Parts: sequence; structure tokens; C-alpha cells
Amino acid sequence: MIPFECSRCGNQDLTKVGLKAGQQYCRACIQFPQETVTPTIREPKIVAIQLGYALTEQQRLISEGLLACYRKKQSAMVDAVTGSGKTEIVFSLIQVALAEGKRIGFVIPRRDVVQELAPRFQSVFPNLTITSVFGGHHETLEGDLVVLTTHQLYRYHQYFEVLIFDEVDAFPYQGNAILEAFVKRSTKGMIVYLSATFTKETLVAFTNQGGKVFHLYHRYHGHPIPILTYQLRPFFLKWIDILMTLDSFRKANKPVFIFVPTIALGKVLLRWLMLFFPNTKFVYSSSQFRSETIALFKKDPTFFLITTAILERGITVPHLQVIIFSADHILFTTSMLIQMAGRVGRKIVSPSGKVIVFADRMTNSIRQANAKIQFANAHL
Amino acid sequence: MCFQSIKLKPLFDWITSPTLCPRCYHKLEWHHDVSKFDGTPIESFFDYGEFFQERIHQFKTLGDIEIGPTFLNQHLLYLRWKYHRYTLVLAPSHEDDVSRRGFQHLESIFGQLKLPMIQPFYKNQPYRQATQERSHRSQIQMIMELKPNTVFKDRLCLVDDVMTSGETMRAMKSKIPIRFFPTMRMMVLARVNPIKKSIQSDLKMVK
Repeated sequence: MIPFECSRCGNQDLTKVGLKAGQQYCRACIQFPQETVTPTIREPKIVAIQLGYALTEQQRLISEGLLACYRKKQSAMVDAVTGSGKTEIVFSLIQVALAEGKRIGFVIPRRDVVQELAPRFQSVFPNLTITSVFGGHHETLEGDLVVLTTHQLYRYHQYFEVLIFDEVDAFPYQGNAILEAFVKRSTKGMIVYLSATFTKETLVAFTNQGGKVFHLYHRYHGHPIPILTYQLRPFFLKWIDILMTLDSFRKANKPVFIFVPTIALGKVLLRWLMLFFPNTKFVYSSSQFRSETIALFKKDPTFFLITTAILERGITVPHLQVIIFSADHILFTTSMLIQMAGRVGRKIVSPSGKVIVFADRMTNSIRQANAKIQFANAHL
Repeated sequence: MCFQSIKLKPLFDWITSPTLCPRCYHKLEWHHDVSKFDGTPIESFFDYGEFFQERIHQFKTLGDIEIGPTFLNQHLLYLRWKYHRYTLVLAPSHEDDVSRRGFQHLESIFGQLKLPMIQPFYKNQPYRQATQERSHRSQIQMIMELKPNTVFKDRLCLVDDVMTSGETMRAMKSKIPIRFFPTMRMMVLARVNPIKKSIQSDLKMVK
């Protein structure tokens, strides 16, 4: 076989190479069309940040650190706990880069988070054209700030001069070599990686490559991250116990996310809960009216929302409580559990809440998630 | 299709689907159906489900030629035996589509049957049946034309990839000159199940 390297995704695996009319072609990235955006010249734009509140001291220091990296054209990684205000940290960087006429992209692996973040950017930068690009929504591809999913990066070749990459360790990006190649291919300047759950190895490898790492262990309101409360209930007991827990939340009038590891389990749990709480709803990646249900829950959270890991990141609901059902499932990793716990207590009006874990047995993931949360809380 | 290794699959799966992993094979929704369409026997192999649609898109639109032979691979012996006296008559594609794709898709799918194939029809303008509304699909009668001086043998099997309204098949059948009196059959990879489709659309509306 003749060696082959794809110019788009870097694929060298010959089992993913086809032969057409005597020419080799890459089958790994064939799902992504060849079309790319032709960059237009951007004028420098002076914009004000309309935040409504001041950054904390730690946020401000990291924000300045990012600006220093930008001037040195050095990539950076911000390891900040959930609810610490990672997005706010990059606002100054966006402001400065826009003033120099740079092309800026804000990329996230999840489309729900794109839909959530684009209006937030618009409220902070009301005079900017914020373009959101995700599957099924890609009529406009250019703007002052492009908020997009990793799957849409194939449209941009050597385009972004500043690329801010939030939730780097989230599915479907993590471990996907094609998307990793698209990130590298789409940018010609600095990349800022943001996450609450970087592994030690990632941070060390990034530092060795010449990147700068920033840590932020404080939530912006100064309250600790809720730790996981175990309810180790084997066999059918967790199915009964969850009813009592939900009933107590209903009486306290609290919105609740119930995370499940698989769609199949979610469907069974939905049927069970609907016997007692008929208003329960379930969202998962391929569910119909997913966006509408999430929007309805944020607007009027009078029902319990069962969800798969799609809502583990990037979503903020005041007074939210979290239940993680079957947390001992092999799919629930340490970082996922930390992210789920991080949905609680994000707003200053409700800085605390409960994260209740229902499992048959204790697992390393649950143990490590709690250890990491306690480590971050120890810095307060 | 999914790039997973098929070396370790169970023996039974080697017999049923030698070139696909069991997961892809089941996702393709294998549904062998023999029935009649306008009085002509027609044979189809898959339900026109979501996974099949994605794969046929990857094959036809994105030009992934390697997928083509996998569709019928598990039925080769049966089909060769059943149609060994037949000549396959391929549904026409417009030249622009073929040149963009880089190959004739029906040849790639049905070529492995090693039966004689002819393409006696052509489209006189770029036209895609899949993008047309149901009521406009009979326009194919005007767009499809028979190449001059085509001679047909006495046993013909009209083939296409997907059959939705059946207008393409109907047009092909009607364009074959009556003087040849052939024994005719039809074969498609997937056929849209009208009852299933209407139930799905009703369910969508209810939701």
C-alpha cells in the first residue's frame, strides 16, 4: 500500500483510505464537505464590555495573563472550576483582539452550549455581530465573533487569529482525531483552552509544548462547589429512594436535573417517574423538541428534567439541584461527575444546593470526583 | 462503514454479512421483500431508514465509492443464481452528477453481481428525483430518454438504488420499445415503506 496523509484531517490510517479512479482519498473526513469560508477583511472595532458586575481579583489576574499571552502569540490553558466565570475571563481578550481587527472564534463541542452562549455574548457586546454556527444553522458564517461547534470548524481554514476553545474535554471532541485536526487547521494564531476538568497529563503536556497554564479554584461568588452526597442503594432500592428525594425537592419547589448514563435507562426511569410525577420530561441527543424543552425548563422549571450527559456542561439554572442516577455506570467518568455537580450553585442568588448520587456501589470515579471538588474547595 | 475491525465477529455474522460489522448490518435494517409493482416482480433488500439514508448520502453525494459493494455483498450468490439469465438495466444519472462523483454509482453497487449491464437511458437535463415533490415526480417521463439504436435482450432486470414513488421505474419500463417483449423484473436496494412513512409522519404531527 502507498503511504497516505490527508491534508485536511491528517489521517494516515490506510484502513480509512479509499481508492477512486486510481487516486487515494480519505474516508475518515469525507463526511465533512470541502467548502471553506473565504475570509473578508475585518475592520478594527472598539467595543465596550457591558457586564454589569466586576470581575473578581483572580479572574482579573488571569484575564491580564491571557492578554500577555496574546501579545506573545502564546497559547494558553485556563483550568478553572465549574461556575468560576471562565467565559467572563476571556471578554477582555475578545475586546482587545477586536480592536486590532482580528478574527475571533469561540468553539465548544456541544450545540446546546452554543445556543446558550451566543445570546450571552450578544448581551455583553451589544454592538457586535455575533454569529452562531452549528448543525442545521449555518446560513451566516462570518461575524465579529463566531460562536460555533467543533464539528463546524471544517468550514474555516487558517481563519481564526484568536480561537477560544471551551470545554475541551467534552464529548464528542475528546479523543476525536479528526476534530483535533480541524481545530489546528482552522487557526493561525493563539488558542485559549478552557475547562474545569483537565487531567494532570494534559496540563503537563501543554506546559512542555510551551503553553501557559492558569488555575482558578474559586467560584466567582466565593462559595464552595457542592460535594457529592452518596446514596448507595443496591438493586431496586434506588428506584424507590429517588421518589422520596424528588418529593422533598418538589415540596421545596426546586428545579431538578436527573442525569442518567444511557438513553435506554432514561426512558425506563421516565416511565417510572411519570407514574408519580406526570410532568417529568426527558431530553437526550436525538430527542425531538430538545431545545424547546430545555428553554422551557430554564424559563419555568416546574417539572423534573431527566437528561443524559448532554446537559452536563455550559448550562446555568438558578436554584438547581442535581441527582445522578446510576452514577456507578462505566460511562460516568470523574470529569463528567464533576461537571454535573458543577451545575449546582452557579448563581449568586442560590450559591449552594444538593448533588445526590444514586449508585449500587462506590466507584473510583465517584471517589475521585469528590476528592477533586474537596481539593478545589480547600483553596477557599 | 464504521471503520471497526470485522476480524473478530461471530461465525454466523460472517455468513450473513461478510463485509459489514454486525452493528452496521443491523442498523441498515435488512428487510428482504419480493412483491409486485405495476404487475412486475420487484425485489428490495433494505428499509429506507435513517442509517441507510446516511450511508447512501455518503456513497452518492460525498463520493465514497468503497461503500458501494458492501450493500449487496451478503446476497451475491443468491442474486447471481436468481438473475443469471438477466441483463441489468441501470437507471440513468445525469452526466454532471457522475462526473462530480467520479463514478457511476449503480455500476459500483450492482457490478459485483457480474451480470451483463446496460444503461440505455439518459437524462436530458440535470434533475434529481429525490428533491422533487411527490406530485411532480412524474416529470421524469419527460426528462428520461432512450439512447438511439438500443437493442434489448429478452430478460431484463431494471435496477435503481432507492424507490420512493416508483416513477423512475415506471418511466424506464414505459420507454422500453414494445417490440422487444422482454421478461421483466425490478430490483432496488431500498424501498420506502408507504405505510411506515405515513405512521411516522402522523406520529411527528401528534408530538
